[in-house]
Amino acid sequence: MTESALTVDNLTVRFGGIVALADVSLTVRAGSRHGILGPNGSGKTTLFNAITGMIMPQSGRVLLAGREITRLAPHARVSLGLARTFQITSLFPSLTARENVVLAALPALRRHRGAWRPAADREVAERADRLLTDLGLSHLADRPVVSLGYGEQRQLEIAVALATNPRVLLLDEPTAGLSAAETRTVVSLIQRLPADLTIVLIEHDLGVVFDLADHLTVLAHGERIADGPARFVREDPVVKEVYLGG
Amino acid sequence: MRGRGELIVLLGAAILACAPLLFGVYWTNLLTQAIIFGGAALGLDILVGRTGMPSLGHGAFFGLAGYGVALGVTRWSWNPWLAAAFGILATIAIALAFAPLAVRARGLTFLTVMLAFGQVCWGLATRGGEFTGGENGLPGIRRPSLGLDFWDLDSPDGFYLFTLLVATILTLAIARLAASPVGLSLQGIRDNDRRMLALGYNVAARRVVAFVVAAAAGAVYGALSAFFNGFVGPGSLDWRLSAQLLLSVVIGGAGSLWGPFAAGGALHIVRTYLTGETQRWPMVLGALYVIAVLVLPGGIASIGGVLRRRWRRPRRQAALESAP
Amino acid sequence: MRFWIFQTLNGLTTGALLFFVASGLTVVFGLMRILNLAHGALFLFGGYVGLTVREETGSFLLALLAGAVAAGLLGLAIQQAFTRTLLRSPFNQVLLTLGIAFILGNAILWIWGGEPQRIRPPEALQRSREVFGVYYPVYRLFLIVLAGLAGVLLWLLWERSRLGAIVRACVDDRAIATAMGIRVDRVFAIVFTTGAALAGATGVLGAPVLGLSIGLEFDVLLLAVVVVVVGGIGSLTGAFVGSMAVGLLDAFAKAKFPELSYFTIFAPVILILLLRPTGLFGRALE
Repeated sequence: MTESALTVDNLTVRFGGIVALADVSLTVRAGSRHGILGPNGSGKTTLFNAITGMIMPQSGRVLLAGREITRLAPHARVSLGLARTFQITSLFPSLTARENVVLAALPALRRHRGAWRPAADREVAERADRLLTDLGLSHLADRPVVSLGYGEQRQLEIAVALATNPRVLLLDEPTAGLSAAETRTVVSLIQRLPADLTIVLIEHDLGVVFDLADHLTVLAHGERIADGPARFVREDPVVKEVYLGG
Repeated sequence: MRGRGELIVLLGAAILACAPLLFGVYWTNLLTQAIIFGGAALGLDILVGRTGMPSLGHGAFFGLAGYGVALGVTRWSWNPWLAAAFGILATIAIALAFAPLAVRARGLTFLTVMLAFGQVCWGLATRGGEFTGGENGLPGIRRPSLGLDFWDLDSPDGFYLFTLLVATILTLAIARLAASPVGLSLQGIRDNDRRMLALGYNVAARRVVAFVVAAAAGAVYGALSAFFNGFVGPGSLDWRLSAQLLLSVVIGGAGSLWGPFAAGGALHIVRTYLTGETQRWPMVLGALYVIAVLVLPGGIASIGGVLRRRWRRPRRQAALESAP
Repeated sequence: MRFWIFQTLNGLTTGALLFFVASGLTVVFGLMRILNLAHGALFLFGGYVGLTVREETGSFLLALLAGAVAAGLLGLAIQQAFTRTLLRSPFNQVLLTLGIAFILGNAILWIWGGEPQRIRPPEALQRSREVFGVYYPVYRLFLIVLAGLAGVLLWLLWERSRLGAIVRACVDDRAIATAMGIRVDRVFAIVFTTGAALAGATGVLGAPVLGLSIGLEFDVLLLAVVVVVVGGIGSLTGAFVGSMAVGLLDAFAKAKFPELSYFTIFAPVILILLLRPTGLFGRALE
């Protein structure tokens, strides 16, 4: 068995009387591209929120590289190497793209405390610029986020998450609301990410999922209904029914 | 990039330092006060513009430090330097004690909490009887001495240059803070405080930092103002002073630092001029506020961008686009 | 005992006047998230218009009407001219409405002069009478009763009328109200004008008690802002409770600890807001 980067163990989340996640388990191998599929309301974003600590599960465990993080604060998980993007873009609109990346990078570099030295000293600035260049966003570095297009913001969102230096990256619908051309740009951006980075991806667009994911977990009504290598899950009759029938 | 900002501050200070050579006593004194109010507005911009917390009670820190100085010099006969240190440090201590509570509020609730805080200070000063001099305030504040033959703080020029020196140092320090990780994180907090929490920043502590830095700047300029006037009265705690500081930040362009400094200074000069010229000065000032909002919604600091856009675009098109 | 009754009545009088001013402010605030710092100036403007009408015609009722209409029309003009600018940013609101307040205050000084003035109360209400063992001016008792009536009337309008339901829907969620086909801009114009008219009428009603003087507009405004935020933005109940609390606190503090009078009003405000940032009867804003 290969090393698990992220393990979710019998996770249950309830809001009042509604069960959003029921006993869901999954294992994400290190370096894997793990897709989470499911219709609206099937619990995908709830799963992300529980993994990143934005909501607390009623029972079950979350393990990051074997270490239990179920009750840790969100930022503590970030410093352990867990990053995410948001379905609704969550950036700093009046700051430039570079400043957005710098803000995210500083805590990871343990440089977020000083009040007397520049925030973007040479090392931090170079790191931010390298990241933007790697993602093909260097031409946006000095532009404030408000002036960027939606597709550019979605790409910057990934850059900001990467700036925290994660080992596991959770992407919540990275191509939602994008045009076909913009979607292709984002997909190829994700494909170019380092192979040792573990990626978990929520996506509605089946084409995108099958392009990117090597492993799939399918949720419906908060329950796991299928899990396995992408090429097998694709052919799973239950999945076909949920997705194509319902 | 940063070196350039510091150079501009020093260049501006050098130009201002020539003022006594060109102007008489009246203008030198007026410029002294303009620097005091401009500097206080620049300090407030850290809280209002950078961190996004509008305060309508910032004058309290200005006034409290003034009262601290006045009490030290007149009531307890201290050396003015000691009184200045006491006034400023005591004000910072009060800000430090109050900040953790105050920053729990946001937006207009914060504005009101600060308004109430200012009114409490004003009420205590006016009703303080003998101790604070009540409505009459405390006159007779001696200025400190540098012990230098060529630099006499009792002369208008000497005090002007001293004020300018303090303001330059403080501005460089604040600009440096603004460019630091803490300074950048304040803007992040203004834009998206939840995301900052998730990234691992202690948002509440940083709001406290912004609050105390702004208060400390207010305190330093409040002490300077007390020495300049030789007098402290409840007027220095009036909410209208807080309003003037907040308006300076808004007119100058919240978050730009130099804009609020320019606006704070200019507002004081305009106001002094109008007060001397006409009984209608509140009307002119009010009209200025209204016009500022309509013409420059981003403040004075946005004027460069506005002009550039006007310049680049043909007129007709500009007219079309500005009327959505 | 007489002291307590007397000060309670004083407090309720102040509270009554405050409620008239604060109710308009809070609904505008709740509806559009606009803090109108010119509200106090509209109050004073109404009062001075009332003064002139009272002196020219001798009728208090006409004066009241004139004060309300004048302030209401001015409010409508401000609303029509500036709503879009006001909505752009909270900073614009502070700058613009304070600017208008300065202009209006100075215009009042220009027109009516700087002497403090007073409007004579209606002839029928000029006596004093005994209540609970103390002699108290009938006019002030009338104000207290009026505040009670107005409170009930506003509550009925708010909770039971069609307009009230529409305004409440807009306060709750402007986007949904718009989607339901409510013309929010028109609702806002009506509410803003009504609030301004109410403030103007209060200027006339309050003039026999508070007098009319330059600077009064900001004294009233500051207390009204405090009432609105403490009561909970957009809450009429909160405005009522807050007004009475501030009025009573003010009356007793002035009588008992005159040296601490501002402290006793504003220190509790700080405390309440820190414990309940949304105010006593408010809900969180977005």
